[in-house]
Amino acid sequence: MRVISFILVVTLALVSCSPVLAEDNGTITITILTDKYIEITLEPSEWNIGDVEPNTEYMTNPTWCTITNSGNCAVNIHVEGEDAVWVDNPTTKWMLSEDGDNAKNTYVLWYHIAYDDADSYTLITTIDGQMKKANEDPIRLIGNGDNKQFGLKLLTPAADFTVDDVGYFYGGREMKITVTIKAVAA
Amino acid sequence: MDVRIASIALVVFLALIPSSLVLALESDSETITITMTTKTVIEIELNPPNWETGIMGPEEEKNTQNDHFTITNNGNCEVNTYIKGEDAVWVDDPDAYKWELSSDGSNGTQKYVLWYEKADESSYTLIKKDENGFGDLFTPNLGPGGDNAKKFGLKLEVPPADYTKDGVEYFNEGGEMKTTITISGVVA
Repeated sequence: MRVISFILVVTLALVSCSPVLAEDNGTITITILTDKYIEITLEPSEWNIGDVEPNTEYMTNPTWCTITNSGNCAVNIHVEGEDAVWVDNPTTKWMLSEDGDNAKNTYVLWYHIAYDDADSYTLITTIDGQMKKANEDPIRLIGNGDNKQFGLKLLTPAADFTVDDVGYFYGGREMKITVTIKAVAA
Repeated sequence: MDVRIASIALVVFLALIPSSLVLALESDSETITITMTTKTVIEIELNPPNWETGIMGPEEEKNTQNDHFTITNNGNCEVNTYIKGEDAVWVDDPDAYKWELSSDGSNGTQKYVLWYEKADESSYTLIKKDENGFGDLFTPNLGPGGDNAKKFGLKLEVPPADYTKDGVEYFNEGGEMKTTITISGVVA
């Protein structure tokens, strides 16, 4: 028993001295995560076009809406559209075009990133897509306060009916569209 | 002598487990609402726009077929239409001689009567004056387009004679009398 204890003491003493003898260093890497908080704001968040006629384009100013990163981390910005609905009877819809062409009861919606190439409008569809510039660079808001401006363009559907070669919608219908802008952690 | 070796192991875990709050905030969404209203166009077409009765003697009554006139909504929304009449005037001097439009269906001295009859009805309805309004409801919820057009006719009874000469009845002013029926469309 005394012999075993002696051997253990010697071993522990050697172990404590070996780093010095070998001139080795140890490191500890500590990684700390902090809570991410993702929030964006849109200003303004409403576009009231007013009276619209068939097959006609309406657009905002290219800097119409400002997306601001109100959170604390970098985010990528996504956009998604939806069908327009008649407020009084939501079963009556204008479908959102998936190919950029309008038709009877099909409208088209685009966005334009401010200060991007002139007339570089990107289609908004019902499928979530990352907002990007004309050169495909994604829209990324790096940190709190970072912002980007954009505008919208809308092409109304073809006429519901024609009288004397003039196309008309069924009049007096308020149509409503919701466009969702989403921030996803980059 | 027992040698006791106390081994103390200090283990430090720096465990950072994402909280549920973080998981819930992987993204954030805001929405833009776009609203617009399809432009309203109201246009009523009456065809034919004239009815020339020809010569009528005192207390004489004339009518068209009840499908003689057609009202068509050439706008792009349903409308309620309203009808009203007015006094008939002597074309040569409207201020000098006129026939008042009857409000009760009875004619009288210098008072005439107007009615309409819809093609799908078999009774006449009095047309009255309404100086400040649209008149009485004529065709409710008239839809746009020719498929929704409605047909109707008119009947007119002129006043009794103003005087008699040599056994023949006359009005004070001979010639052309003119009146106008107004049909207005209002968004239904």
